[in-house]
Amino acid sequence: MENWQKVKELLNEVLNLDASERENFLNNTEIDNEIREEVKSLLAFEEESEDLINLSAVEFSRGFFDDEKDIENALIGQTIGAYKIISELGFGGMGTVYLAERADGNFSQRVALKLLKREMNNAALRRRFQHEREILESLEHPNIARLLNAGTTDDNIPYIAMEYVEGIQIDDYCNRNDLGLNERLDLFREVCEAVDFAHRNLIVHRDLKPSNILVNENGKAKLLDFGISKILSDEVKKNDSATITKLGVMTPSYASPEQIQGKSVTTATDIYSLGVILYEILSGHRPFETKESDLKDIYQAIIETDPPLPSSMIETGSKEFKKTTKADIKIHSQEDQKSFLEENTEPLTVSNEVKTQVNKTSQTNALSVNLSSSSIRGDLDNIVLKALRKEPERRYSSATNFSEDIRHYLRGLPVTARPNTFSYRASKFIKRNKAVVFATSLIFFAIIGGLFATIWQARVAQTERDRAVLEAKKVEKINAYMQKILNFSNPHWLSSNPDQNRDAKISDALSEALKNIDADLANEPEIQAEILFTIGQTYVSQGQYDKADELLTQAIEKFDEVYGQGNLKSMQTSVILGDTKLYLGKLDEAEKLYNTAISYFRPKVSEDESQIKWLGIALNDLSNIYSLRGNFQEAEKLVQESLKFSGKLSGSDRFMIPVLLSNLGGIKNQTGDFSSALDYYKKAQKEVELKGNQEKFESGNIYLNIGITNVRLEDYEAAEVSFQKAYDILQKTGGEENIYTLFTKYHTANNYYKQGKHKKAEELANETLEKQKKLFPEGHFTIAFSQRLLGDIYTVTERQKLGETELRKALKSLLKTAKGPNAEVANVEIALGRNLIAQKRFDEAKEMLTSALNNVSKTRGEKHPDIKVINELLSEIPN
Amino acid sequence: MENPQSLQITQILQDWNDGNEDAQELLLPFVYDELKRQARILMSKERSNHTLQPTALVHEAFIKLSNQSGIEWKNRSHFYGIVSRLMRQILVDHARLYSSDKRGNNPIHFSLEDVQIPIEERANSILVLDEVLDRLAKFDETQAKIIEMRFFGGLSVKEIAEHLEVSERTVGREWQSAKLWLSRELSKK
Repeated sequence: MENWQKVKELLNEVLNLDASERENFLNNTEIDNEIREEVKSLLAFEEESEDLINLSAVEFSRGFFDDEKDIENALIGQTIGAYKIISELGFGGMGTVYLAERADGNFSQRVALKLLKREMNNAALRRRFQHEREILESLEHPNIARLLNAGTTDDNIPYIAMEYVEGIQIDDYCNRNDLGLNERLDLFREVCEAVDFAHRNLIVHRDLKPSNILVNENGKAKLLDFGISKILSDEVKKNDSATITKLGVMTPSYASPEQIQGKSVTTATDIYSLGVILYEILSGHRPFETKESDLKDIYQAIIETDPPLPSSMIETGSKEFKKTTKADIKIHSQEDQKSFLEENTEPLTVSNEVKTQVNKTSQTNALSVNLSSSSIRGDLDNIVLKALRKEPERRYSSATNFSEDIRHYLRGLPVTARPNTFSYRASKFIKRNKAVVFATSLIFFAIIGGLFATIWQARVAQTERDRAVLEAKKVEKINAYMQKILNFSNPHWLSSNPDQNRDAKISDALSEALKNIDADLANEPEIQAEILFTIGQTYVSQGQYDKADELLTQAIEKFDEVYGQGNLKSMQTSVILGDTKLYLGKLDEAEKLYNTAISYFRPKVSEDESQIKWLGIALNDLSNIYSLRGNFQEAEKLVQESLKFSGKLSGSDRFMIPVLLSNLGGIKNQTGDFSSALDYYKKAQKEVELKGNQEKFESGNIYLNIGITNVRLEDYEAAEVSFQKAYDILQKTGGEENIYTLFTKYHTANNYYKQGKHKKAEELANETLEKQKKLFPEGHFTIAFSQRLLGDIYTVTERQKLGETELRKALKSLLKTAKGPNAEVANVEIALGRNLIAQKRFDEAKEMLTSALNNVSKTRGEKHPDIKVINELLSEIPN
Repeated sequence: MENPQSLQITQILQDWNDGNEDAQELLLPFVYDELKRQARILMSKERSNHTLQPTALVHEAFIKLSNQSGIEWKNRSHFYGIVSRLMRQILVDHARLYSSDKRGNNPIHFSLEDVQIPIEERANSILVLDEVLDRLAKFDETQAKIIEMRFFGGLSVKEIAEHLEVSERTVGREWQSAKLWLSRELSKK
């Protein structure tokens, strides 16, 4: 319709008008006659169109699917090609399989006829159908159900006719007939032969599972359903019909790690699935059974977890087994399959891949394996697990080799399969932990950067516990991760009670791993050192600094032993050990370690980025020591130098830059140069935003620091905004009860106090204090801060005695950890001086303020505004 | 525990994400199963009032598919559009099985009341609608798509707007004029 756009526009205008106005509107405007008539014609249907389509097509089409079965069944008795359809064997999403009989000639032959559904008759599915046909054509083997014929029906629907196998699936067959161990293994070896035959024809089955392996009356195993198999040599075609070859209809439990990860699929994939099948035939269990229906759990287990020994499964879960077996039989038997389909209201659980052959016996007796655990323990455990290795190249190189190893076992000959050695697991552990190690050091610095501005004067050792709280979530993750790596999921690993074992702490796993170190790795000091290093790092991330100290020291010794004095590894370890010492308050030792590392890395900065990174880290960490000692000038120089080098870094290594900028801001804050501090924080924030991390923890920390600086600049409104932003981010990333969130609340309360909103300040300060007391040990510096604030509030609201009590508590806590001049101590002394003046106890006040003056000038310098504050207070004291 | 299809769905969806056209067709069996399931549920439920929203079948199919595939779906609205198309195809195919020469006296509105009409007539109506929509698509593809998504996909105006990357108001306007045109064309049948 040419004028449709114009008609539409006009229609829309008219529809907005009242009925009375429409006539006029249509007649008065200069409208093409044709368009006007069209609009009028359409408007006539306004009432009628109101009801149009007020339900969805599915509702409207009730009953369209009622006779589904009839439509499918209509084929029964019909002839397709040379076959007469007898009955339906099964159906799924894509096609239906019928039992059919070849009617021509003198002999009658029963076949399984697979027919693409009429509605599914599109090009892609037809190609897939064709693909299966081509594969079957090339596979003539006594243990593979043969292709007999293929074609299309009169209305162009493709079908294939296959050998009809009357039998039951292999695991049921074994249990039903009470097969002994040797018989089971013999039968399984037949399957291996069939698979090997397919492999030699460059075909990977990709969907091996018990329900695709039927055993007939004669006890012969037949492999079925090459519906999703792949022709290995067919690279050209692969591009042509990529989805067909890429498709995996794998049943998750039998799928290999590489299939789940979408990596390239080779014959090793089938070896893996064969391993799962043997596992099941021998133990009655699959290697990864989870109770939850969450597929992600199974996927993750297949990718990451080492399966328990098959022999161990026989002992543990015979109850569960009954359940599993029953369900399996139900799905795979013919009659039950139908009821299963009908009962099941959940979509997509129906097997899409049509069961081409179905067993005739459909008893649902729960059966279990009759084998004993001891008969499988040892060689057979090893054989099964070798097939189940995560790395395809570490499995049996062919189905024949797999079968041969079983034959060796049967003859009492030595088998090639060996369990994973500890040293193998250990090197695996290190490899996988590289990422964790990096993440750990990143957080480490972010924390120093974030709290530096305000907390450094309180001793760093105090932060141990806070870090543990903050990192609890992280640690939990690392726990789970490392447990897996250390084979911790093995139910027999620690205790006889698997549930209890689930709670086993990573530290248990670590100490267990450490126990093994000397014995198992006597000849591998390199791996020993790596393990010590990695576990040491983990202890750092858990806040267990004493243990970390010990292990990292040992690691340095070992690294020196292996690589000679002064090597990259031991230097990196030195930096981490330095951090550990810093947390422990052993500043001198930390300083020495950092300096050693710095003199090692400094000449090497031109070599590569990794050297630059470590030099940058060491410089920054050393600067923290100077800051702690009140030497802000030297501290700043070091951070500036670190920044100079770090600026050359690229990619994720630039994570350091916002931390360094933030630390510089912190130093400026300490020395009273608040506007420079603000500039640095803003730069840090920009860097954070550049990386898209503005919602991350580090960003929250920077906002917190900005807010603190705003307060110092007496810009209370800006401070409130900054604290709000900080709170939003920190609360979201770290939760309500963590040191930073609470610290933000403390500062918000302090901001209210500065603005004279005493009631609000008092409420929030009290709330914060309560939570801090719950979270931290007595005497913790953040508690002291809140007490100082409350003390100030009580002083100005003329509750001096109450104020003095709080302030004395705060002072006591801070003095306990301070060595030498300390700026945070000064803060409390100033508050106490003010309080004592209000109480007219001038001598005590003077003493307090004099001490404060000393503390400030020695740490923050003579120019710091606090000096002015103290002098003003001192001048209030009458001589 | 076991879901034989989920990995396949994952791969199809991934292929689809990667821009593989075949994936649409390969998805058909799954959508088909979902459609039948919904149809079965509807049959067992007595429609009691008129306040029921059109069943967002596609919506549910999406949730099931993406839940089971375990991957994050990049382009939900793309999915909705294509599945609406598949729904149409499936229903039209089924309607053919039931259609007859028998014709009712009144034009069908595809409204709640019409559910009582004999299945042959409804099947005819679906075929007529299919044909009318094809005609509409020739001069206003967007409107045809809107009706397809609204009726066959059961999508809300908001979802349709997202798919077409236009405002909800635009969808509302297009929907209104499209309905007028449809009403007229259907009444001719």
